[in-house]
Amino acid sequence: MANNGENPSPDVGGKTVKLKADDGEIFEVEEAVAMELQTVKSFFDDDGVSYDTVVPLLNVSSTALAKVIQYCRRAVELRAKSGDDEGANEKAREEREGLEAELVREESDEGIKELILAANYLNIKDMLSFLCRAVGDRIKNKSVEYVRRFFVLENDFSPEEEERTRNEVAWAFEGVDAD
Amino acid sequence: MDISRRRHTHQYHGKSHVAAECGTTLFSTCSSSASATASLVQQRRRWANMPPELLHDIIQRVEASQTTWPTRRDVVACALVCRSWRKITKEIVKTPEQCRSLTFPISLKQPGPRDAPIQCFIRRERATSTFHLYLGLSPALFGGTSKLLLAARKIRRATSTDFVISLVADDFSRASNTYVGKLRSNFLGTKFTVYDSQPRQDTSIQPNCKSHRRIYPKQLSPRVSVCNYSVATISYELNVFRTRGPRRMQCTIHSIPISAIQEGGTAPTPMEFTNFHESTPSTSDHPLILKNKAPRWHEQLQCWCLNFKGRVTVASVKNFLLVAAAEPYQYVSVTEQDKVILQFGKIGKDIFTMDYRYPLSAFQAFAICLSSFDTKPACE
Repeated sequence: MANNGENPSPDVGGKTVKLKADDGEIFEVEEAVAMELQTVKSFFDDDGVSYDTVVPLLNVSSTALAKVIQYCRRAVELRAKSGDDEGANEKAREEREGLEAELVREESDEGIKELILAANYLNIKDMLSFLCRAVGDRIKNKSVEYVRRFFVLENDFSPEEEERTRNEVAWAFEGVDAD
Repeated sequence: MDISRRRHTHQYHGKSHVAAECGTTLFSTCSSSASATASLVQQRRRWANMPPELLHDIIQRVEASQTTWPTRRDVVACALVCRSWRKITKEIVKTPEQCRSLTFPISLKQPGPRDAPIQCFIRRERATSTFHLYLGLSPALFGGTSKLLLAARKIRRATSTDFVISLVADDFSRASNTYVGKLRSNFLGTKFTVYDSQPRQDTSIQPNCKSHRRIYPKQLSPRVSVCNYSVATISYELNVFRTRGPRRMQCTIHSIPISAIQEGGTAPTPMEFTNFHESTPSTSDHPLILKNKAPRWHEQLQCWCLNFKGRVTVASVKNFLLVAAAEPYQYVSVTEQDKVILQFGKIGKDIFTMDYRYPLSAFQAFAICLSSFDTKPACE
């Protein structure tokens, strides 16, 4: 399984947590990384559950989970690097932005959607933030029809409502075909 | 997000592997094409039913980053996708008064910002008697890509002149959904009336439908009527000394009460275009009156001077600065009375700047400026 390369055995002495993706695959991650996923954090916090319990993440595919873990691992590392030093902070921030850009650049539209749903389900605020920004970027300067296809939406305006929006189309898209 | 909820997963025993979306990993051997397809369908469904707060976040980001035209149209696009998107987008987008951005056509009928004016320019096309209002400081800075806000065509009639105002430059039919109003002048070109095709929203304002004419255009169904509502009157008076000094100008804005510029006041802000007549109860309330600021005589330069703050560079009798005129008993602060609510002036051949602010809207400002193009020699 290719994921083994991205999921090495945990360091000696560090506590780990086991996460199970929707297809049954188990990911063993360092505790600090696992706690980046707020959903996982509350799983342990709220119920007083033993850290040995495998956390079932039924709505997350192993593909998405692997990427999430990869991102969170790097994010935790970068956060450890930054401290009081202005310069170090700046460098860490730049590296994080580079990491985010790289992650979204390689993703297809379906991949981004999968990641957003995963980040939302797992409640990872920072990741959700840059993913939403990326989606916003992908629908900029696109037609209304493109946005509908991307988000799997039907045009549910009534004929009267549609009529009332025509002047918006004419005014905002002078010369451009909005659909 | 209750992860302790168990979902039924069926374990199929298939033989084929399915490549994941990103193409870098394969599903493990215990998955099959059937469950992979099932999870794709699941994901599609989850995506289509994405939580509203997520959708809100995405649309909000688009709105926050696309603040100027032409990219502002991405926000309009969001409002055209479907009902839920329209609702969210309309909730997110603020009025020009709040955020200085013009987003939807209705923004043109909403008051401008209070702190500083929105700057526009007007280009006159003599050959076709049309006038185009653009957003922006001046044509030169944008190289022809300025956002067209409104267009007007001058139509001379037997006893009056009409300026028909439209959202687009190629359609001046009053039956069209791009028709937004008009300016009508009297024969002498001394008195003008601004008509809005939009009925007033604020129920405390009495509709002054003196020239309330129902038009039943052939293109629309008989039950839809197009009304015109008188929203302002403009009058020009000859300079008392009959010299080449500036003429006196007064605008009575029936649709905006004086309370709009009093402490804590607001101006009517329509949120959607409607094209049906709504009857509203009448109350008496003093309308806002604007007068042009009197220029000072500059002894050394031997001319009348107005401070346009650099936005007007060519002397012309058409140039004006409008400020609110209030009686002492109307309790309008000095700060408010000093504010230039509308400024109009020439910067080149057939190019004029128009700066407007609260409580006027772009539509009202444009209509008032158009009157300046039609005044006859009797007033000059």
